Amino acid sequence: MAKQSIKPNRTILVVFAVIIAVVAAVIIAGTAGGKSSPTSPTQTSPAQSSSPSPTQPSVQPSLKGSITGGGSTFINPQLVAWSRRFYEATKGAVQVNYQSIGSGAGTAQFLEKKLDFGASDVPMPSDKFKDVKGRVVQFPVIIGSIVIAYNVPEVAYEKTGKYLNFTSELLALIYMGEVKQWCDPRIKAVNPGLADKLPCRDIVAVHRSDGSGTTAAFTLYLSKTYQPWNSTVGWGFTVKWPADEKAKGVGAKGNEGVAQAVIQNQYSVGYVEYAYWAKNRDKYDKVGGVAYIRNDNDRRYYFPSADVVMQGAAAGLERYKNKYGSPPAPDADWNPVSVELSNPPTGYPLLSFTYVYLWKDYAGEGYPDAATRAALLREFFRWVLTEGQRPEYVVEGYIPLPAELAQMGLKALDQVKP
Amino acid sequence: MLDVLLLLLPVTYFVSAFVLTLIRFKVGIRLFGLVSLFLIAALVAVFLIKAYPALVRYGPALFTTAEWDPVREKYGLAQAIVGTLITSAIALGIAMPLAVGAAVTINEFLPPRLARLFASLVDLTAAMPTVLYGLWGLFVLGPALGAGLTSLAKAVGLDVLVPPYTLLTAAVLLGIMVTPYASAVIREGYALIPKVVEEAIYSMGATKFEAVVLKLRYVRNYIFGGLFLALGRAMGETVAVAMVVGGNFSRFTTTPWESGITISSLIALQFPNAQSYTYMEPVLFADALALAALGVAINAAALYILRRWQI
Repeated sequence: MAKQSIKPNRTILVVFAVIIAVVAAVIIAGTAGGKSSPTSPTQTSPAQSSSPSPTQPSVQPSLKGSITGGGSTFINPQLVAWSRRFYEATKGAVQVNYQSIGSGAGTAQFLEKKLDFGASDVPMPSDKFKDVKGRVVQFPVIIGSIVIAYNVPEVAYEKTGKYLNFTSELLALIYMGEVKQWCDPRIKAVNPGLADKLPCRDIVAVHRSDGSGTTAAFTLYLSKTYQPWNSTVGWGFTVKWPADEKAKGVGAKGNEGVAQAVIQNQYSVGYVEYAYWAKNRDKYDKVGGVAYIRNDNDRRYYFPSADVVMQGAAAGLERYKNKYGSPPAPDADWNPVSVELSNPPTGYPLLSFTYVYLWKDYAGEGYPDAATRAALLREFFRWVLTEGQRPEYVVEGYIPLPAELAQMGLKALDQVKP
Repeated sequence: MLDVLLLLLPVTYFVSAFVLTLIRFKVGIRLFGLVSLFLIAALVAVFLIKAYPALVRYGPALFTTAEWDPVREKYGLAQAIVGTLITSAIALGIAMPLAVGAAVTINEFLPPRLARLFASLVDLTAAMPTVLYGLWGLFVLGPALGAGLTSLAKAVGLDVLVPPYTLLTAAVLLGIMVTPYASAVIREGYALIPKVVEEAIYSMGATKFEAVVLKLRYVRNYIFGGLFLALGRAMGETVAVAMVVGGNFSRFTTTPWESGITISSLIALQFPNAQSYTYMEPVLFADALALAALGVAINAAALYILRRWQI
């Protein structure tokens, strides 16, 4: 009897201890969360004190409800941040949900009317656009820039204090498997300062293995700047990389995968979104660095930083206007626009944009509660294109739109029937 | 059409549950059997319907060529199918000795208390989210394997750089991931060996080692069962493999230390943007169909071998 009664007691004790441990863990996690949350507002505290006053009046007090969008995975952190800020600005009346399902799926589900808005790293494909021409508007909401990171210990930034130079042609040739070694004369020619240090090792060309808007922007740039790339490879979410067959191409999943693969693979080069390089800058500087890219139009080398990227975007829009005589219409096919924005006349040439799609007439498309839905969408994106572009609302690694491009979006919103 | 089917399923399910518990056991259990049969049939039918445009457009060449060029809408799944077979085979080669070893250790050598702890720890590893294994593969296993093989190559006089993310990395990771599944089955079988058999073995004067070998022969059906459970897991594993396999869709290779792709990781990597292309989605469904066919073929082979062994 006594023995039997001890055993349950012991189990009870164990269970009790486990419960205590779990509760303690939850509390610790809670305080840790609590600790971290005050730190993030400190970054934005000037905004918080000033923003509610300008934001509040612009939001209709009667507005209440939730909208759902989806698409681009690239924009997810930024859209979630916007959604949270907007939720706060409206005192919890408006919820914006975002499903990070990929640009292609986002476009498809938007067109099937399963989502209120779609977000994509490329404009709506022309074949899909012609079916809904005149019924949708699209506009960019944020800019990303793609950096070329490399791992060549012999010329690492830490040792030499210099970053490598690249041209679009060189990048295309590397990913086509034509330039196979780091000591290739074509690399040496644009890097006179480091020419004698470049090792004769094979280049490992790292690319994305999943379909992605980053790949689409990168390959669009190569297609525009190097004709042979356009005719042999082309551009899209996924392409057939000639380097995989002719040289040492390696695929990796997601920006984080490519970032990691470049750090791990000696003598590799890869393209990643700016944010993923910025986070690991020290690690790259130890084994290599990030490249200056030559803008083929003004033939100057640019280092990826927010201001030269914005300069590039503005210059691209300017070129579109000069070519077509007017700024792009929100309900037009935006593929020609994205082509003009890529490889701009001046500034850092490797840009990517995330576009948002909206319907012009939600009632006409058969959405329930169309009036509220349209009002919520208009209000949210108006906020995104004005307040949302302020540096304190832009997540690190993203680049806000130049004023003129944000203006395009606001014009598009005017076309959405209330 | 699909919505109606989905609605019908729970109805059938509850009707059979009702019959099973309240009216006649025999009829109820058969109804349940029908439901599961129907589910599988519906699944295959949906795959077939979705894959149909690709099957018509590309024909059998879809499964015999390696190609992935969405820009030109050219696809071939040979690399994915071969990659699945290679990674699963290597993974089983790694997992089976580990699983048998773990089962024997737990049943024979560890004191009962420690054995129970050890067993539940092994079971726990089966419950770990696969994305954790993937991250571990990405940051630890891949780089270590790459560096290890590179220096090994250097030692034998070859100057090659083995990349960290390859079919082999995926296979080793899979081997570690599926070990607990095989181990659990073998362990249970081993524990069920009748006392009389054990006593008979020792009464013949067998050493411990000989006894273990004899007992393992006695539970060979369980070992086989564990093997096929592990194989099923290894063939279908998606997330972790997608992170470390290297993502080479279009160059055909059977060399394990080159980057490749498997059927399920191809779907995971390419599905999100598949709808931007005309034929990519049907091709990915054909890919899923190939995995299902592969699974059926392997299971059929397993059943055949088991029958032969038993008689």
